[in-house]
Amino acid sequence: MEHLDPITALLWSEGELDARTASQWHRHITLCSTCRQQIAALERESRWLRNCLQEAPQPAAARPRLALAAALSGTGLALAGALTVWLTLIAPWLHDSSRMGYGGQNLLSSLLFSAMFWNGWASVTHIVEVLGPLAFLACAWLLLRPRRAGWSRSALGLLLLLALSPFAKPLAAQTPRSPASSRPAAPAAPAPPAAPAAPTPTAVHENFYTLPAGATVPHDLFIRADDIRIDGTLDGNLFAFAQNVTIDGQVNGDVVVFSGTLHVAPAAKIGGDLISFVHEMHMGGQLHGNYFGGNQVTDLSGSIGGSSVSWSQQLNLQPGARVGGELVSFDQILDLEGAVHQGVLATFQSANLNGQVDGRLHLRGDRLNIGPVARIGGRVMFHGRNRPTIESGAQLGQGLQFEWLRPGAHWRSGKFYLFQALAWAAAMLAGLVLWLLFPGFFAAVERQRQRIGASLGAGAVLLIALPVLAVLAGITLVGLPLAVIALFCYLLAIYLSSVFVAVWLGNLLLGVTESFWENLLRLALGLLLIRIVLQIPYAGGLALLAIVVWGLGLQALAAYELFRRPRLAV
Amino acid sequence: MESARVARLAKDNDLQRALALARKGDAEAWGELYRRFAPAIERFCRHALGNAQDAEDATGDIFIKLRNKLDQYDPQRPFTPWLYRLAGNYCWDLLRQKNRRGFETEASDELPLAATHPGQLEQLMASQSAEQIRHALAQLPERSRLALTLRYYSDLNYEEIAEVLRLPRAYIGVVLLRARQQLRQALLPEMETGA
Repeated sequence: MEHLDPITALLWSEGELDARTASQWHRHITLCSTCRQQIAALERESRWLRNCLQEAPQPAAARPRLALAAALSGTGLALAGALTVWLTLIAPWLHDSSRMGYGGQNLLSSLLFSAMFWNGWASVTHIVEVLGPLAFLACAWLLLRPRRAGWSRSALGLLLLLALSPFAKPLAAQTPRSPASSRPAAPAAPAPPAAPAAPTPTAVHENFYTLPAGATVPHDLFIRADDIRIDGTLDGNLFAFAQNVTIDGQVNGDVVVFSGTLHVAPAAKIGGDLISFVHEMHMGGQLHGNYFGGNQVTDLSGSIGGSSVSWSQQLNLQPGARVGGELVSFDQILDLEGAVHQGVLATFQSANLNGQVDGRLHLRGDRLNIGPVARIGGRVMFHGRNRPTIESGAQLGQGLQFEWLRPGAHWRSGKFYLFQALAWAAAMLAGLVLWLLFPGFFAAVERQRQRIGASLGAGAVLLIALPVLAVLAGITLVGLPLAVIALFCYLLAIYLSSVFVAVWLGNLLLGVTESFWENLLRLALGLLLIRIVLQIPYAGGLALLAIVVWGLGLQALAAYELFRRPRLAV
Repeated sequence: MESARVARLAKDNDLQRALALARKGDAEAWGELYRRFAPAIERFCRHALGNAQDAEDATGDIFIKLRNKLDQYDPQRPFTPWLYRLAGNYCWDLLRQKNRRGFETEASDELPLAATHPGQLEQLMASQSAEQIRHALAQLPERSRLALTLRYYSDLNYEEIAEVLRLPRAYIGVVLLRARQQLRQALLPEMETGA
């Protein structure tokens, strides 16, 4: 079948082709990229004409005055908006953060300096490179799958379900229990009022909150206070936002804490999981579930029944501490003197192993010291920039395998080239699928390339602001699905940045063309050059940052252009 | 989303009420209709007729015509396309009176129908402002100008455009494609001179 003639292409693009003719052409259009490009170009032109014609023209003489009025009004509105946002959102948030110990320099130093010099970024980059194609493939599958009614809703429902799953337990905990198991609650000190008859979650907002010893609360607690102390028994989950949190009693559910300090006393027991985002965390009690934390300092001296995953500046597993499952550590400094009954996976700047590990250790970092009382049951694999030091007395059950990460050493490894080839192929595939599925988006990105300042600015703002906004939104139950979706799109957009920059690079070197295969060649060449540039020490990092910022900005501006609704004539 | 739908329904209900009252001669309802639709109709006329002075006069005439024809409006159908058809008919008649030779033998009819070149089109769209497009539109032959206005300003479908231009529906695609080609050609010199 020949290509669409111009009239049929226009009628198709405008939805004016009769059903019979449309069905005749449908298969050809699905298969023919030339015709799809032609249709996409006509659709873009239609949108463009609509936008231009429906935009209200301004009388020329009135323009300067109008522009001035618009500028003044805009500035005024922007100032008023900024003030409102500051007063209603940022200032209270800063106040709360400050109370939790994350104010001023602490926050800056934690977020910027510690993060900038953190050695685990390489691992994160690898994770993004692996998760990026997976996320993209998931999207492509959703788009390319056989059309069946209800699948989109099911997929969305599944995403929402996954997003809400952390809350499933708290919500389940709200279901009424038998009256026999309900005991009077004492939610506040010094004179705890009587608990409500039905066990429903309680939200508390006070300066000091204490659950006295001997008292029992039979439901979930959401507490926001300066100081929180749990000496009694909480027969539900605890969600705490405070400056100081102390648990010296028993919590039978999960514990989620955002605070300056968290102290879990040796006598304390936590039946579920512990999740903490705190400045300093000391865990000396018994935790039956898993631990997950993003703290500045994590000090574990008690026992953890499940696994521990932490992302801190410093993690101390004190002598006597015990982790029943795996220990996963993304900590800058790791001091392991306690016992881990399964394996250890860790990325660090420096680590000291002077305790017991029953499983294998997979370590990556700068410096590793294995102390005299270390008892390692499994094999130790260390990828490091310095040779590990093993003190006399250390027992390594299955020995140690060391891979020296000399600068440039990975270039001599076959695995490195395999990974690069796979990463290049994945990016190529992503670009190809994107091109075929969304030629309009590709064209919009090309148009936006002329707006270098705007795209760089938008990219820089998005790169920093989106995760912050997503985290803020994620704190609330309502905003959590939105945050998960936003972060998913963010990850995907970061990954696709290199595709758009690669097309630009290819066109820059070989010139602009309309041919599909020649464009594919430009994409391949651009991606290859990017892969090579990224391997240059230091400059590669800066290039990556530039690619991500520009690529994000281009995508954001293109999306804005495409989704901007034409103004109605009436 | 729901609130927007409710607001739209409320607005539609207000419009139907105003139309019903206007039919009965209610001056306030007429004022309401004029306030609501006159700016859009004037912009339509400016695009269709190509100059602001004629557009202003035509808007007044169209509302007089609307007063006489409102009884023919079927409230079950959307009002805005009907109003644009009325305005389109008026403008087309006006243009035909001005150009007594008629438009059946426009030079543009001989323009070959070429496929759109996506690259050139992108360049064109990226470089031209809305003001330049409107300026170029005013330079087009009358029928092309009106066809583009009816389609891309008023959002009328091909059937409705055919009714206004008194052409077979099957010919509207040709008219629009030629009009778009003419517009691109009109814009090209502007691109070259950087206007």
